[in-house]
Amino acid sequence: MATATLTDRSLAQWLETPVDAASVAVARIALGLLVSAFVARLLAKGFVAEAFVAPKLTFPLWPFGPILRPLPPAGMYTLYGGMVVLGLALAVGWRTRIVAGLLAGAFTWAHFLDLTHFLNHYWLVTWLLVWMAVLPCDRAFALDARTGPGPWVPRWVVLVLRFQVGIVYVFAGMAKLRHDWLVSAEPLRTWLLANTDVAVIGPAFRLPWVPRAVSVAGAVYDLTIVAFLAWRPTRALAYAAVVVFHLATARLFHIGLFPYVMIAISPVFFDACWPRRFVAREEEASVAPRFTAPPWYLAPVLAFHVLFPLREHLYGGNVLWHEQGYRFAWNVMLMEKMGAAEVWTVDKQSRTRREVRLRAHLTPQQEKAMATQPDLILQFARWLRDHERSEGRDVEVHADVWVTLNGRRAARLVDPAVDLGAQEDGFRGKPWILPAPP
Amino acid sequence: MKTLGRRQLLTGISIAAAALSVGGVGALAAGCDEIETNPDSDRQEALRQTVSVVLIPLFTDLAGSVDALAASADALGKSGDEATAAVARAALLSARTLWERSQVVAIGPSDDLALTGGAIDSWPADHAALDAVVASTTPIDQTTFETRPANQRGFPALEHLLFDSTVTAAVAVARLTTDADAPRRRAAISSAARDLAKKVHAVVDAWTFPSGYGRELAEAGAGSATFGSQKDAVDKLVTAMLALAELMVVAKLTKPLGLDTGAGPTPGYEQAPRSDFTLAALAANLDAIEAVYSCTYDGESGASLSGHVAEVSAAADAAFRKTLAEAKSALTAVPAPFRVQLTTDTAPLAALLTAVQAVKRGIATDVASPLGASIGFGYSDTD
Repeated sequence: MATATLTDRSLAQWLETPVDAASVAVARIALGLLVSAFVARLLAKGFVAEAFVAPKLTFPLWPFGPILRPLPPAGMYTLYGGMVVLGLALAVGWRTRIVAGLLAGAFTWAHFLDLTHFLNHYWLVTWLLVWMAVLPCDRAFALDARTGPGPWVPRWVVLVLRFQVGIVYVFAGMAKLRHDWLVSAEPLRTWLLANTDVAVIGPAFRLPWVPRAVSVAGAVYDLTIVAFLAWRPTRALAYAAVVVFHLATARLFHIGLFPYVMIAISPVFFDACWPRRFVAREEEASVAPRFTAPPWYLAPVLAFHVLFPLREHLYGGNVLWHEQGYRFAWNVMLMEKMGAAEVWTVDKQSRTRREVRLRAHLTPQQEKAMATQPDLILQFARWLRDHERSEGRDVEVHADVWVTLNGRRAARLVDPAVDLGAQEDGFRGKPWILPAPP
Repeated sequence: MKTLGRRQLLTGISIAAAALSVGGVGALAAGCDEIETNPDSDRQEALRQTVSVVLIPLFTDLAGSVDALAASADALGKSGDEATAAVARAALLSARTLWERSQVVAIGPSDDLALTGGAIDSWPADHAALDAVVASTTPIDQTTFETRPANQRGFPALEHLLFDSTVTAAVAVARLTTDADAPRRRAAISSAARDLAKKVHAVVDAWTFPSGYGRELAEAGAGSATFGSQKDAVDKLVTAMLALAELMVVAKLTKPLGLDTGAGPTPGYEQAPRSDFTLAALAANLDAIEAVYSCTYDGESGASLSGHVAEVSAAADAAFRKTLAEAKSALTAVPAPFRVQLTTDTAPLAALLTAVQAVKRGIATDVASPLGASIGFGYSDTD
């Protein structure tokens, strides 16, 4: 008992130990600049108009539909412009926690508005911003640091950020331990063959063994990189691997912000004082304050991060096919999935069937994304039911959706006999999703 | 000593993990015989040959056909006899067939309103307005049709002026030859044909000039200013094929069949009822999808997208070819003309719709997926 108490105290003391706030500050600066640049890029490419002005409907995250309605166009532009400014404010460390909280809220709200544009790695950005709002990431290289307690943070702050990055790699690696990735070398085989014109290495993508070699290497990388980053002797080499790996994926695939976030955040695994090689600490700041233990809420939040991605296993079957539990589980770069949907309504009284022209209601991006994701098909069916009802027609909504996944022949995704307009969304399994082809 | 030992142990584990990774990669790579890649196939070559074997000849033929149409319309304007009328009619159908084929690549110049003005094939035509042009006394010259609204120009307008399947052949010919307003009708045909030729030439030139869109597609990722990578160009071609299939499903079949409203057959939405060209247009569309997919045109063939689909999935390639063949069979099974079938027995047309829907689905899945193509028209990242 006494030994246990002593051990607990040792652990607590170790967690409370002051460490240099510099590495956390660099992570904050990098994240702020990246988010700002990313959102500015979206604005420049006309994303706001395409995603929130043009569509007749959006596909919000269940069950938050009632609070996930796009603002009028001026509001959406203001929101995105505001995120650019907030990102810069985060980078310079001005009102850091408030700014990080606002940015986390705005970024998450905006990307939950329409899941046809949602990417798994936005969830990482959300959580990094949340941590920036909750943790003292403003103790160094920040305007706020002028009045703070000095450039120190308790060790647990650094560990939380390492945990957040590590959880992405580990789950991404575990997700690759599947037949498609390791044995069929899909979707990399397909993707690499589409990139054979890449300078120097492109021609090699056509060699039969390359896709599988890259697949296996990718899985090994994801599963081991955290350990190699955490261990000082391998750290430099591991970080070089991080840079090469993510720059390669950024060049080959359109995965937006993710590679750069991982490159920018991974140095948090270095010694907390690594930036001091470049920016020395001021003399009067060399005395560290005493810190307290981690707050109680960390334990359930960290447990959530470990458990929530595992929920996909409760559904059984192939998560890449039915996508129940797919989001927020770090299933990144796992599938080449294409679909085509035909939707029709049947008047409940006259039994008159009407074909629905999807393009009349959906943007091309929405149609493409919806055609492979059952919950979005359901959302559209329910929207269509309500739309028809508003025009005085009480209808069933049916869909014939064919999907190809990772090189398999196309197969039906949902049961066309089921009235999707009458189905409910939720965490429960969706029996109208047909089994994945072998 | 103890610390050193732990470090040695960890180093050993690291080296072992690395060796395992490399060894695993090597071992798995060595045992991946089922992944076959054709070392002779090359996407650049497929793009170049799709352009040189299919698209440039197609657009060249199209330019020639609208010139022939304009010439025959001029001849009709001068002579006004039955023989020249027949030549002009045949020229219209020939040019329209090639235009319908070119719609498999309704991208770049073909989709540029600054060039087309939407005035080449906006159907259904405004029949009343076109009749009014003929009936009025306002002089008709070679530029009259250049300023008419889109649905009073191009192929639909010429079809209206040259054909009328609702009257007997003799009456239709008389309208062009002996009726009181036949000279004005012939002048209108000549004017509309010149306008059409001018518009089509603008599109064709933009495709075929040495620095034109055809070159941009062919040299994607190799000096093209429009397409930074071969993938961008493949994405564009696949998206264009899908767009044509969508057009066939929605505009050419679903709407005339009245399946979008549940109201039943709606003849007003048929593409070309006056010349009974609707089925021929659908056939030209399917031919064009096959031509671009398999890189075959006018007896010539070359490296194709089909080859690359087969490289990844021979089954998907075979399935899509089968789907195309079935759609062609379904089309052949529809008794001509479309307008009569629409009002008598829609079952063959419904079967055709199902078959064309399968083609559309095949492009979106069997073709796009093995090619790693991103179908779409806007900005999006993926994960």
